[in-house]
Amino acid sequence: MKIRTLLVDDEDLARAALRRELEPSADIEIVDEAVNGVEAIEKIGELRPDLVLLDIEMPGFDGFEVVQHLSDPPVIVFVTAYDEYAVRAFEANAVDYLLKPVQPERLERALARVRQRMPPRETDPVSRVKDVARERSGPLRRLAARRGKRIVIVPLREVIRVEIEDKLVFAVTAADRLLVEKTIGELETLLAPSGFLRISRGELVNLETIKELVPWFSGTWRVKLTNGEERDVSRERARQLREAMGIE
Amino acid sequence: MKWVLSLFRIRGAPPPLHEIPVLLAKCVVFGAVTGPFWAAFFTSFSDPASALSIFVTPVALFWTAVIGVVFALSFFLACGLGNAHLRSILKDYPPAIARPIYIVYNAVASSLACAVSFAIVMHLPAGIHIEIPYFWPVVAVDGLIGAVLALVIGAFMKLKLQVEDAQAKLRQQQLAVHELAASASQAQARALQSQINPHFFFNTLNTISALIEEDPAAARQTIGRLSDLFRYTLGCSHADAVTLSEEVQFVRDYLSIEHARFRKRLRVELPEGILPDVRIPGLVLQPLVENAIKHGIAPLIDGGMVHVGVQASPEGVRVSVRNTADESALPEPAAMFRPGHALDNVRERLRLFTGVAEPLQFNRGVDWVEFSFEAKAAA
Repeated sequence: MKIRTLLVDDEDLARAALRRELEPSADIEIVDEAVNGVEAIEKIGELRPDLVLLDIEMPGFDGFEVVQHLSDPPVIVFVTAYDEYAVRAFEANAVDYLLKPVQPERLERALARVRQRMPPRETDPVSRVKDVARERSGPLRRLAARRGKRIVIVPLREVIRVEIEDKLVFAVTAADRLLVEKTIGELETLLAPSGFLRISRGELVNLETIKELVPWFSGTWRVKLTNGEERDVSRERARQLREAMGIE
Repeated sequence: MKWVLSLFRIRGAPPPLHEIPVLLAKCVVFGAVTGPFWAAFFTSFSDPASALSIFVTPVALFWTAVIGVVFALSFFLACGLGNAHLRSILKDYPPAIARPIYIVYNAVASSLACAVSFAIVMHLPAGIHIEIPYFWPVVAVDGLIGAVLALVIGAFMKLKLQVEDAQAKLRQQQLAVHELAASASQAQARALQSQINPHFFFNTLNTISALIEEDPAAARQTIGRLSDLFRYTLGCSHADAVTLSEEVQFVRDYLSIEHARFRKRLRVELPEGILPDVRIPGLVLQPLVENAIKHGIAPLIDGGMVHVGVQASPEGVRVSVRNTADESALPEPAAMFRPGHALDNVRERLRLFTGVAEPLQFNRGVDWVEFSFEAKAAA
């Protein structure tokens, strides 16, 4: 069985070089290429590759942000020209990486490791990739959401809240409501460092957009948001919210 | 000799308590030794014949010594100690106020010391006849001498302070010159280290590696340009200033390499034609352009434009680097200038070159940012 591979790099030349280096490996099938972070998220979701060779410095989302957005990441091998911090992080976490210009024998070694991990499974290496990504890029600043068929980048400070409707998750901004292809639980973990808090079973709010906190019935609270909306906070979440807002 | 002089030293602060008994003892010895000489000196005016007899008459010798002690003690207490205390009280006042106070104080103190000494001397259980013919006039003259001395000493002290002040200033200036020289050479050292950015260097090697098979001619050309860049940066670390045209040419070479990476995503506008004859520190324009690409163009999916502008200004020309930028991805100004960062380095070197505190201006619009600086026309 061939390893279905996606190449992600914003430079045409770099992708061409990588493609050429991969040609001799008979078990690698390059299914597609992506030229930026947004396209990478899109194509990984669509094509479900086994392996992604992922550049780090890219427009849209960088390689680390891409990884943070994946709910079920394939095997990732980072490719970078020069990023001393990233390299240190990779070495510490035994995550596979390649340095550009890629040397054939180094590539072969990385592929050997990838073959061992096939088929991709939710094991240590994968979760470590996410750890490294989180550690390296800090709190997310932008979210990948869907408008129709296209993936768009939403700056997180524009997102007022996140809600569930008919099992679909939406990010609400002042002007828009965008589909996010993640569960609310995943988003709760992903967005907590960026200042989002779960206020009820089906809802997260951006703490920055809370204008007022009003005690409501039987231990629940109500928050007034900058866009004029009012949302209810469940009793279980009220304490966390008050703590997050620094109210005792 | 030294311990005698310590009696007359002009003190800025009162002597510590434990020194006072020693000083008083010194006064006693000084007065006793000099007393007979003073007596002989003054007697020689009225009775020259008997003046020298003081030294051979033990009783006269004893009493003149006692008189010497009385005078020495009273002048030491009134004028010496008094002035030392006065000085510590008045040291923070302007000379216009302190000077008259010193003069008046010394006039009063010395006439007082003189009068008191005379009075004591006249009431000594005298074994010697003492005649003071002009009591009040002598006291008055003494006061006058005190005032004049205060004036002279005051002037002397002022002169001394001025000399000390000038010396301190000179030392400070020497220190500042030294520091400036040190920081200039440091900035230069940093420039050498940071101008060929490792990111850029590795990216270029990567580009060349990819080009070798795809387009060997372009690969050769890129290697040639990279060599030019290296030659320029290595040369620049020694020379202070380059012409604007040299720096713009350097930026052109640099951009042609970046263009191989970014292709259509990087659009560039450089000043065309003959540039004004101005000198700028080497390697200040290129880091600004590199910064524009790294933080402005690279994060944008569709890329953007870098515009290098040269405009006439009252002082010479204003050189600006403007680029498309995604507002949400802009770092804070403080983060842009963090120490060791290329922008901080550029600002530091412009500062050393122009002497202007904030030589690098930052402007921004909805979707662009701009750095600019003044370059003076060659004199």
